[in-house]
Amino acid sequence: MLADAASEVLETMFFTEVLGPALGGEAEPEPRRDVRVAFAGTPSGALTLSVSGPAARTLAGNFLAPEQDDSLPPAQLDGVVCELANMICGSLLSRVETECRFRLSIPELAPANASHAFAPPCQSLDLGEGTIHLWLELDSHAN
Amino acid sequence: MDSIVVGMADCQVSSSRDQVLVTYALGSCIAVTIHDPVAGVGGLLHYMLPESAISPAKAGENPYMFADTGIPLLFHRAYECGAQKRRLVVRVAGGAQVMDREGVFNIGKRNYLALRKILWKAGVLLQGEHVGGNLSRTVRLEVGSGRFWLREPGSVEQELPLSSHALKGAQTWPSAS
Amino acid sequence: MAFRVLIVDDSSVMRAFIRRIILLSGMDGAEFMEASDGQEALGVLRNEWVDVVLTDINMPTMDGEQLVRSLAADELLKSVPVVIVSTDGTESRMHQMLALGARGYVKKPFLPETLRAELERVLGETYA
Repeated sequence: MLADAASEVLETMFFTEVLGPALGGEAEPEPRRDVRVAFAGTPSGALTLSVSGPAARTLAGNFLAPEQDDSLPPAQLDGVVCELANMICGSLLSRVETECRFRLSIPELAPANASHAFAPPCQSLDLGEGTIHLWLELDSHAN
Repeated sequence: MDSIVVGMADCQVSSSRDQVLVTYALGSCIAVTIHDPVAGVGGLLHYMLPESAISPAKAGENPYMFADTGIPLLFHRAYECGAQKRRLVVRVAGGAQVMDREGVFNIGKRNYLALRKILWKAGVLLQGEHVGGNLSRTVRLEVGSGRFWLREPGSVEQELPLSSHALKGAQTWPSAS
Repeated sequence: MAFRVLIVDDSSVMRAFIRRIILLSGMDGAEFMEASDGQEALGVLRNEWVDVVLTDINMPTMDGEQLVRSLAADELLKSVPVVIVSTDGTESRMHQMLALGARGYVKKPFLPETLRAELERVLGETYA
């Protein structure tokens, strides 16, 4: 369901296809962008998205359609990655059959590679030009 | 009316109001039609693959084979005939899930995503689309009126209305995974 | 007077995305105003003429639901058409927002043409 939510958002608003699972181990010369969206409802939890440098540039270029593809400042790349996380989280929660209404937090950028170095991602997706990782955490006291 | 047949990896642009541009058997290929009602110019491109990067040599021989080389050329040819970008009505059909030589079904979706990316970056929105599914399609564009006709096997030819509400989006495909 | 659109979203890149769609929809003379939450939007609406509001729901300070409630309760502003653009795609949320007074609803993610169609529908119903 998480991969489906990500595919829906990536295809519809970023014109980008998920080619399949990302195979780990590739060298990453540039830092990734990590962003976290918490949600409250039944269940509560958080979605963390980590986007590689090349993927962030490609996605931001597709979304914002700038005159020149290399001209996007880092703040706009951050903004696009935050919005991507927000939409994947929303799309995921919209698929959950529940009477409860979810409340999403404002997406927050996390220090790159810091918060999730300890846990393998739930999903690693290959976008051709770069990869994204997704972590879904559910609060333990959830029903 | 005079029919001009547009083959696979082919493109025709016309300003003869009594002509009809027609293309047959769109499977995973996509037909892009453009029409300027004021200049009376119509164009139809039938491309096969999303990106020329997989074979620059083929793209050099025939740019209409690929979305990224064919679509800009379609627009430029229409501009040469007097069409103006802001008046253009753009509609698309095709992109069905048909098995390719490697037994993979997703060329149709890749063709569609490439088209969407190119048009968004070029600042063009669609006025209609009929994409996805698994049937082959035939498309006709009347140069004079701009009417866009569509036929699928086993059904009668129908007109694709100028209406965004009839749009089917990328969600029409099941997940590729 | 130019057609005036107020785009309310805490994401500046989403505001830019929506602005581009409206420009590409042939609404040539459109003038854009932007706000990053409901509070800011109310400030704009009390000082400027606005033909249509496009608003997110999930925003800091004042969310889209409170904005729609505030507009519905305001004699001067209740006729301004509001289109919701939200990641919340649940039927119950959509029905709730329409019941509160929103005229249209677009679920993120959306195709550019979907937003254009909803905007044209709402404007057609409001200003026909």
